[in-house]
Amino acid sequence: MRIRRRYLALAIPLLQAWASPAQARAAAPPSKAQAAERVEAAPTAPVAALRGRVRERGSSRAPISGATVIVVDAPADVRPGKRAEQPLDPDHIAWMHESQTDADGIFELPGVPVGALRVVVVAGGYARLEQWAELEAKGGELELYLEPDRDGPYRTVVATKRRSSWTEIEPLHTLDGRQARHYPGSGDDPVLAAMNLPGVARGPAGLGLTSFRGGDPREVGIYVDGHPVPRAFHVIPMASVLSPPMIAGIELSPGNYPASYGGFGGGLVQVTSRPGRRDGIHGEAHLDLFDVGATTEGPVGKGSVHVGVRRSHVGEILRAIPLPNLTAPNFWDYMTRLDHPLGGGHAIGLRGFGAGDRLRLSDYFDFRSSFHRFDFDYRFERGAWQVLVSPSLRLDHTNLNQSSDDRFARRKAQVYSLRAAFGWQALEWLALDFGADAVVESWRRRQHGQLTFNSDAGFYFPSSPEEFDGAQLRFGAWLATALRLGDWSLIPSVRLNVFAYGPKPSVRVDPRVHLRGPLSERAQVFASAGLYAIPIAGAHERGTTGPLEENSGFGSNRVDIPEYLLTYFDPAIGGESIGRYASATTVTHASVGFEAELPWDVDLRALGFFRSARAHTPEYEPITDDPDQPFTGVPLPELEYYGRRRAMGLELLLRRNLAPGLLDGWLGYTLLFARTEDQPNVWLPAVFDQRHNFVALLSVALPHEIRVGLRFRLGSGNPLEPITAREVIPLSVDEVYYLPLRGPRGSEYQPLFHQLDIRIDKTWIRDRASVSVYFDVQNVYNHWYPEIWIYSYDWSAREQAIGLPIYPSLGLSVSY
Amino acid sequence: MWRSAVLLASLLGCGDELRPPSYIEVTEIFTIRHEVELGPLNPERVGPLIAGPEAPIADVLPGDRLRLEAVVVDPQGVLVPEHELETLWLACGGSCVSHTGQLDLAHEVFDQRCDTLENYTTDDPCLLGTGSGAFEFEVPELGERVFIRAALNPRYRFPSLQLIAVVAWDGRRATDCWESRRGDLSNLEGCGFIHHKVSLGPLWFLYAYGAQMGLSVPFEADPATLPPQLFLQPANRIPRTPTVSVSVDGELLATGVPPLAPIPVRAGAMIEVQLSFDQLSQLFQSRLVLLKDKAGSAFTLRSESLYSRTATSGAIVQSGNLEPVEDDGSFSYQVDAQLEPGISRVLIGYTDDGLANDVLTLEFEHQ
Repeated sequence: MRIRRRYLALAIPLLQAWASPAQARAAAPPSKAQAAERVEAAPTAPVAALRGRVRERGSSRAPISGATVIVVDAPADVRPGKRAEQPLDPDHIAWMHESQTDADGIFELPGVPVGALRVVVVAGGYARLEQWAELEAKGGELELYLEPDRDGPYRTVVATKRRSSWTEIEPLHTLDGRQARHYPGSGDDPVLAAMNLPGVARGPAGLGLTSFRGGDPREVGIYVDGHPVPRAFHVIPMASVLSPPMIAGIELSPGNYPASYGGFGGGLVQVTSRPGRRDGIHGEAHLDLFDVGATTEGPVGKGSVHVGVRRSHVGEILRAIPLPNLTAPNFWDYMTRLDHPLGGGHAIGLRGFGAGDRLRLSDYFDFRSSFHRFDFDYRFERGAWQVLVSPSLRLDHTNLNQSSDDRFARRKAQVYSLRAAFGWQALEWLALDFGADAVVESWRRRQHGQLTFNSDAGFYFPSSPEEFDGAQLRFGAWLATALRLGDWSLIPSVRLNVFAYGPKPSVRVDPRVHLRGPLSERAQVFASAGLYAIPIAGAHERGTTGPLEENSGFGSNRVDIPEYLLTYFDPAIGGESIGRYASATTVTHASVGFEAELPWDVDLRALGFFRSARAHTPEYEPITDDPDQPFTGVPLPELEYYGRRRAMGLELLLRRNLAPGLLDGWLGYTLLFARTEDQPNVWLPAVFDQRHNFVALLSVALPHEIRVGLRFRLGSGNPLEPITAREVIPLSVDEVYYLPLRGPRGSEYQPLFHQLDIRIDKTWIRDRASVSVYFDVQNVYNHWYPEIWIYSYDWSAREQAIGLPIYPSLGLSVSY
Repeated sequence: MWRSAVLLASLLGCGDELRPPSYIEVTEIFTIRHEVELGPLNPERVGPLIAGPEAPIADVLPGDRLRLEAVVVDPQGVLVPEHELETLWLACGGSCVSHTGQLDLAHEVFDQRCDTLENYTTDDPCLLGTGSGAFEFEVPELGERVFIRAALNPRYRFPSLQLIAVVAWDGRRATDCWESRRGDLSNLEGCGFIHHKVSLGPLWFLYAYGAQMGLSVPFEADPATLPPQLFLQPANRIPRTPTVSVSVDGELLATGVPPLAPIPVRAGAMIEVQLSFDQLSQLFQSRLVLLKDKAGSAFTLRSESLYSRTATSGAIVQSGNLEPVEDDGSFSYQVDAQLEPGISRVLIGYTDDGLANDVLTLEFEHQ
């Protein structure tokens, strides 16, 4: 017995050492049949079988395989279910049984003496568990929960499995959806968190803005699960259109995106939703000052389902505040996805996805916009082949009422999207990727009472009812190959584009190439270049307007709203080519850079980029008998000119991932020069020509499940069109209008921007659920940055500014 | 949630409170005055002189000589002398505001001088010329579209010439201001731009004259059948300077027709200025107008309305209702609580509904 106990005294520490972090991943989980079992003593007391499951504690509840479960005798007066306060003393045990959990986290120990037990569980990457139990004569079952060891080098990695073809170019930036939710200053929204990455312009007041490398946000392709959506964020871009728990990952390609996408010169954003988990019913509910939401996921047959809904309530909160002229936004979004394998490498998926917004300003205007999308996925993956066929239908609806029911604008559209992608590993060194995608939009617009100007009368008159309809097509077909030349990979590709936005379709061919290879064992170099054709559809926005005007009133004063707020944030209705002119042009993207793995799990990436768009004047079929033609004989203003655009710069990213370690985040810097040709041979800074942009985003895991994060942004301001003079226009004997005259964009810039945000998270982990509370403070030191200036009524003096003040907020979420 | 801050921020501001828009922050154009020297058409339009000393006529007919004067005021409320200004004048030919909100001033039509045009009429957009703070030109023949705006827009009762003035001060050249205005709008310091309208009339004579020329007049009745009394309608005149009564903290300190002696005020005082226009002269500015529900057969006499607006400088800001006043209204002002010795000025511009206007200045002395 003594010899056995000596061995026991050695065995347990050895078992713990064996289950060290270094070996935990390497150890293959045994099956039930192979579960090791050792009986170190032959007791005379009655025995029974003890079964159980070991899981991770909290909302994950993931089964832990390869965990060592040791059962020893215990004093009779222990309380079953409670943790043992004193650690096990190997010299004072009478017997021991041991087993290991299988792939499902299940263990089984037959022949365990009935009575009080001490259960010890050891697993790599988890804190040791010692717990009391009671075994009855008929046997017993235990559910044991281990807490992840946050101080150790081994962590649970949130992995996102996403289909990628062998030839597909990796996006420049990838963010894990769960990880990104904890970053400060992003309101728990991973898509907003992605806006902190290098190459992305700073949005005003923290609003979401997908402007890459100084480009036009409207020229960025926004895709969710492979199909386009009208926008990445809700109408007032304080939240993305997909609830954060539903987001698996975000991929940003500021340029040089793969040939399987096209028609966008400003880059590509791909958001991937997360399929439901199959290891039980899980979900999350959250509540904060802004919105409330819930998600549920779980197995369905051999597949899974994941459902999420969210609704904001800030509109109700603000309406309760007795302040005049208050804009009250409300939004909602939902997603349901069903994924089911069919066996033999086949799988299908169904998705229903939608988002809506409503913006009301007293009785002045009421704006509503929504879309609903329904997707079907068929996937096949086996051997050398990967296949994806996915049709989608999206229904868009936008409605704007102004002042009275007599003045409105309504737009409905049906958007049919189809993607068929095929990947074939033809040879060991050669892979092919080919496919086609098409987006057809059929729209109808109806408007009435929109004010149009009659120059003969010198007055605005409401228009009579008008109705327009039309359709437009965007089609692409691509072929890409991946050539492996030793450690180097070369991916040449070509995409054929057809844009049918007007009477004559435009056809463009985009050649693209990507090269990647090693510089050293821990460094790689990469280079990309390609053409990206884009359609130019001149949208005649006659009669459509939103609540914002460049020179809006603000009480008895005037507010100078920057051009980009009007262009990119005004919830107006527009987008189709009423004036019947359309064409296409080409954007060239090129980049070269290197990536290196530095010590302490830090990655460094540096790249230089260049983007250039060709100019084009749209072909125009003139509208005859235009009543707006001024009688003075001065011709109509020149048609919208799509001028040349150029951007170049440098992006640096120093990044450490969430797992492993206590510290994660990144330091990002962008140097940017962006110019546009608003008129022929007149070059001006681009709207988002932010010369320097630095973001430090860090998140630190502290003991007791506390996480602290900070974000510091330092950046150049946007170029402005400063008011240089005004024109006095007496409208009548008792009314004078002052027209501000603005200098060219870039003759003045906004001041340097800097802001610090802090977020603190505290999580309480229970066996089957976890509760998180977060406290987020925006603009910690209350630096008042003038996003919008307020002028006197006659534009002669500028005194006040609108900007984001210090603002704390609080949120609560429960995960199970 | 942090995003709520975006909405709340839209209600917040920082920095000092803005003064009312009537406060003169920088040198600015207050208005354009105009006077008419009669031409050969309708010399009888001068009308009776019953109402006292003759005030300048403010309606124009083809052949009249029109004098325009830019009223520019500096932050002290002092009118910039005419010789310190330079002006450039444009005829819009119709509306000075197009369907885009702004006429295309860069168009080549504005490079051509009006007096070089063949068959130059009121329909032609062109460059009238340059001058000091004042400028004169001869009114051209009527064009085809002179009556169209009046027919389409009830707000415009009278056909009018529509002009744009480019005004330069502080040593700037008006031509430089104009080039910058047509270009990238940079370097506009010392430049001002203002639209101005001058009524064509008297109205009934104008209709008859236009019909005689074969132009479309905006009503169905044949002008030849109009009652002859209509053609005795005199031309509109610049309103006579009103009598002003100035009260400070409720005490009447001055009354009379400006210019008045400087009125003493102290810090924090409340000022009220009451306007009283000459009723008799206004009576003779009444006009015969066609009743809309009668097809050219019934007319009524409509009295002339006057509209006044104000601007302040120095230690005085407008208070209370900031809207223009009608006829014999009043303006309220407040003196700053902290002030240095000096003079603050108040300007009041008054316009009748025939677009004739003038300006008066009041001075307030604070110790």
